[in-house]
Amino acid sequence: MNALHIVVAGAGGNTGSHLLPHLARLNAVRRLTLVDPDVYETGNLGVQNIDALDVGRAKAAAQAEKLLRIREDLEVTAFEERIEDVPRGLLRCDLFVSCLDSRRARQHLNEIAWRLGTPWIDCGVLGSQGLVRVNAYVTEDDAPCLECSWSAGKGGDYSLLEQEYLCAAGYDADFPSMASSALGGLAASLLAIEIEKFLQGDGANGLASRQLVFDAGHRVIQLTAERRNPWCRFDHRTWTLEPLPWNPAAVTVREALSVLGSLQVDGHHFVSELVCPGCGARRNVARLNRPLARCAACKRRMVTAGFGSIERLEHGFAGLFLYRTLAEAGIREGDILSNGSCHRLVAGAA
Amino acid sequence: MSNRTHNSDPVFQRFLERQFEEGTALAQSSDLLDLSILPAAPPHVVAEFHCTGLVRKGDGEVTEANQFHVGIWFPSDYLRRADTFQILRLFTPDVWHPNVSRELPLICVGRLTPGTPLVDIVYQVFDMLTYQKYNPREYDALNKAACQWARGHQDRLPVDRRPLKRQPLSLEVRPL
Repeated sequence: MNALHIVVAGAGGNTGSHLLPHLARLNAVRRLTLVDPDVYETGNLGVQNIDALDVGRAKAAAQAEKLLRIREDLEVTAFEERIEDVPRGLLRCDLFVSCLDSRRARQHLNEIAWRLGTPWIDCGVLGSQGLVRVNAYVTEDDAPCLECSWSAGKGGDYSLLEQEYLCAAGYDADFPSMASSALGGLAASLLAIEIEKFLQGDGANGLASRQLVFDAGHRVIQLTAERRNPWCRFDHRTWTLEPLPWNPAAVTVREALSVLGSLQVDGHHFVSELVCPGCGARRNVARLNRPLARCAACKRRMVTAGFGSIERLEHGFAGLFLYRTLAEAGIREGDILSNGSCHRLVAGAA
Repeated sequence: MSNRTHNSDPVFQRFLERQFEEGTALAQSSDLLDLSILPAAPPHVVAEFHCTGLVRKGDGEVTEANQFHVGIWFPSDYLRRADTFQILRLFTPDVWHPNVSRELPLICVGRLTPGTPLVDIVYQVFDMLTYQKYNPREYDALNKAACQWARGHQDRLPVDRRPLKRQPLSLEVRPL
């Protein structure tokens, strides 16, 4: 494979910051897209591959600069937002790499990879036990996805999904892995080696549908095969995309509905009102629920009350939205619009 | 009753059908609950509780009330993701409870696992409205004043001890 494009989610963290220099040094990689919504803090200096000058900077942007210093002909794009908020059409690539630190974000990446029909490699570390895990997923018939091994019920993976809001406390999911810089570096090296194998087309010996666990504490390596779960809660659907040459700032929702019949952006809802559970503030909107909004008064994350959002806009159920442009309704170039039967990529005016 | 939805995922469809069957069965076996299913897409449910709960009107007095309406709906990815605020909406104003906002139509039943069945949510809301369960932690309460009030009025709580589901009454007479 040549001139590959890799998207790295969680690019600036404990594993991602160690991984990126490896990727920049792979000749087959021509383009890297970095996604990370966070900003470097002083505490990151001890466990991430950064220096004091990076503190206060957006992780994705800081890492993009470092990559260009390693290899100036690399094409690097940085998104300072959550992976689920980036228009999916902008994430089309040859391989996704996850250096994410939450189940919730991994679940989104799993969905994005399947929708786009792109393989992905996931990595995780557990600092307290010195464990490094690498999984590879291919989006093929009968291949397992991340959620195939997830369990329901009390204590199961779904019950452990990080929730963004918990009553009034304004809960922000943030679970540090407590992993050392060395463990992050080890994870990054294992990941980079598997990526190299993937780039060489090493299908038979690759890690697809398998999990590699390295127990650094006990110096033990385990390899486990994973199987498709017929009762998996994820539908494993892959989309075929058709281009839609629209400028989101020039097309109204009404015009879009007259062409498409209905309008949905997978993974997001259209909301009419945001409320703050902390101070009771209300804000009228009429747009997609991204990015997460914060209350102007108390800075808590704003939420949508039940019945205050709609998954799909249709004539008769789109009153507030009808005369807004797609851009005003929160739709961006690169978004994939669905009307239930086909998926159209907003690709900009011809 | 329509359960029209855009999500053609058969797993989610089966889930919805089962929720409505179980919800309807619970309502039929309860004197304190009615369920209406609205033909939206995906379907929305309105639960009407006839239990005793508390309200606080403009004059500041906390009094008992006997009718509460709560909306419940399941987004098409509900089996995989759940947001407690987005799933529920309180339609009855002035409800006085630590887990219910005074200004907003928000109810917080705490952490909600994706795929939590409708009847479990109905039970959680019922336990909350009747003060059989409430959150005594002010930092995480939607109504901090109600939280303080509840701590000072433990003798009044819970305000309704009846079970949601009608208990079978045994009239069998045994000879002595």
